[in-house]
Amino acid sequence: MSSPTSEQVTFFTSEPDSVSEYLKKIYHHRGLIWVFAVRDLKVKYSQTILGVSWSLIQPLTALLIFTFLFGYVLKWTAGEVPYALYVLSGLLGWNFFSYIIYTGTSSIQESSSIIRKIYFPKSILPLSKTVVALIELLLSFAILIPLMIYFGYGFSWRMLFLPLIIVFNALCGLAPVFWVAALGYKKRDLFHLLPFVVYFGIWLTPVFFITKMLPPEVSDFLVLNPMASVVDFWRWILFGFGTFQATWIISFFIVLLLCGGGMFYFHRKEGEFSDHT
Amino acid sequence: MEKENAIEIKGLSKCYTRVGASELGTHELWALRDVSFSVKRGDSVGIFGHNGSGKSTLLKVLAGVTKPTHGTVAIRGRVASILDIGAGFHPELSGRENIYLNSNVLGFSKLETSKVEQEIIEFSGIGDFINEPVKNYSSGMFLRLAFSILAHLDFDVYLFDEVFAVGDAKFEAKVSKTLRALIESDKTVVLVSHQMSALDKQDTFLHLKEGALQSYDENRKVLIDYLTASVISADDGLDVITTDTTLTHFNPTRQSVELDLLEVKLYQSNNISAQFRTDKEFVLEIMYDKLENDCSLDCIVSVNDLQENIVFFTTPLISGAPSLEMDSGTYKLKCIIPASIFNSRVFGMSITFLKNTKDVLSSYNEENPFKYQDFLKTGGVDVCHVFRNVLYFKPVFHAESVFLDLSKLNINCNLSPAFTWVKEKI
Repeated sequence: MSSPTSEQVTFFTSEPDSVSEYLKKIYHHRGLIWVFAVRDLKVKYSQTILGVSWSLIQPLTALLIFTFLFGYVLKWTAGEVPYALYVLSGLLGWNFFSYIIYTGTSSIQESSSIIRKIYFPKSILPLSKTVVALIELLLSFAILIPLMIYFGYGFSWRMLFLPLIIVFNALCGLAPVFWVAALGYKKRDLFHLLPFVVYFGIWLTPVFFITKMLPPEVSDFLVLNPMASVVDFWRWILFGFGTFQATWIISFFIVLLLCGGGMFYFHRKEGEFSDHT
Repeated sequence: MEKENAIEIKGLSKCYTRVGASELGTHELWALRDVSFSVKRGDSVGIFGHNGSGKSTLLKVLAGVTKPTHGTVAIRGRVASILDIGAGFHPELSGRENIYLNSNVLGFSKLETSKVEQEIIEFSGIGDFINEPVKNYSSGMFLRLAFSILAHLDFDVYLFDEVFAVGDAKFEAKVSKTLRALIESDKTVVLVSHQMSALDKQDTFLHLKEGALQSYDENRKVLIDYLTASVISADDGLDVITTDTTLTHFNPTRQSVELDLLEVKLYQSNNISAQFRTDKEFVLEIMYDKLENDCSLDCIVSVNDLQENIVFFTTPLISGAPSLEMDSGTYKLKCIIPASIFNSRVFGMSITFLKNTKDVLSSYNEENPFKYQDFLKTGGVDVCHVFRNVLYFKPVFHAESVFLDLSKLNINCNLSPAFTWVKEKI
């Protein structure tokens, strides 16, 4: 499946592969993305009693706490959207993003024993983590969907945008992963920076608060945060919350460019990973 | 028909730069320098060289694990790189799951793996443990499973790095059998090992020295020359003797108070400075002081090749009874090694003394058999003195009726004894 046949010649040179060559190699090894993802899931839920339900318990707990704190105690409201759904949709997008960042950046280090012994394009590793994150995301739909039905939301044409928002959300996570992994494999300072991004970034993103609550001179700056676009985009798709913003699409292309650039830089550096991990 | 190249390496160099742990800036290390060679499909190559000569780096580059600094590598087909057994194992997953994970990482589909799954499990001898997480495995089991996986999948090129430190003796035999089968098959095998006997079966030999290709030849002589050279240049001052020699200084590998070795003499009664000949008998004289009264001492002489395989051992115990003299004093032993027994090779000679042989030998039985190797390695209970490789010697091939140098013929044996042959025309 993902391997060269006995007639195929593999070349290793000092030059990094051309972009098309590299993409071809990723395509060849695409099976590995799935293999690593399955391995991660198996490992994650082996030796647990509750198994997969843990993936539901975590967002469910967060949902209860934040709905209680902000929705009930502080009485924040998100217009016609129930606050619980507002928070949940924000958390789904944010968790998907942060999961990719955390596991993606550690994936190179985590697989160092394989990297030092077997060749494959290293982009496979963060990509495989993205697949795991995606599965986690789909699992948490098991909370979202019943809740949406409960509050009377149904299918809508806007849901055709779901693939786009998932890709957009994933790119937001992958872009920093590629840049940090490629820039930081020798000196690991950058790796310490990312938890800050995730930890404080949630407060710079309308996950809990509602953009309208901010004074306009502050909320204007939110367009600079692609994740702000992502969570609002999610809510527009799911609940028709707010209006479609052209800035989302601009933001999408900027992130796409950043992620592509990051992957390109990552690919130029990955030949040295095995010497440094 | 000319076979195509399975591996082609051109101008390969690899430089490691370390951004200094010290503040001295970057530190450059050239692990490989302009190495070029090619290997035909179905051939096998043994790579050898001192530590740090670039062997492992070369294999890593071949495996695509690390990028070359200059040059190109082209490999045809699926490559199994056994740089370190067990890459891609996950401790939390069961042995069976790891078989699939590992083979998948190596590029095999589930279907291909399921065909050989049972064979892999049987070969590894892991049994019911196959459903346990591998973190519960002993290191031996871990390695056995890993090797089994690689041995049963169908690769085109196999890269092995020091695979011989695997598990117990029984499994080691399996490993070398598998390896030999691979070498003899149409697979391409590249092997790096310090264990020279492991390299013996290869078609071609590649000698790396400080990252550069020193020699690349089909002749086993490359290997023998390397071994000879590394012995001669050894730091402990050992020299290969080729003429009558008397030694008076010794570095015992194991030592106790009963004995003081005074002199070891190896000679052929040649004219002074004439070289040892294979067609003359050797005389070995060992002179020692026995310092204690109430014990007996017996001597064993063993001759080994440079791969540390014992070629033979000899002891007066075989020809007669154990020595019963208990008195202290100076003794001289003389052993005559028959003519026309050696090939023209470098041999090491080790001398071992056994204390109270009678008791020692009676402690062995069928359950606890006598193993001469153990004596040399660890020393048995009462092995009081071991002089490992007391000397190295090399005779030159001579025979009355033959005008051939068998060493040049590259005959793969240490001994070429002149047994009596009778030819009749019927």
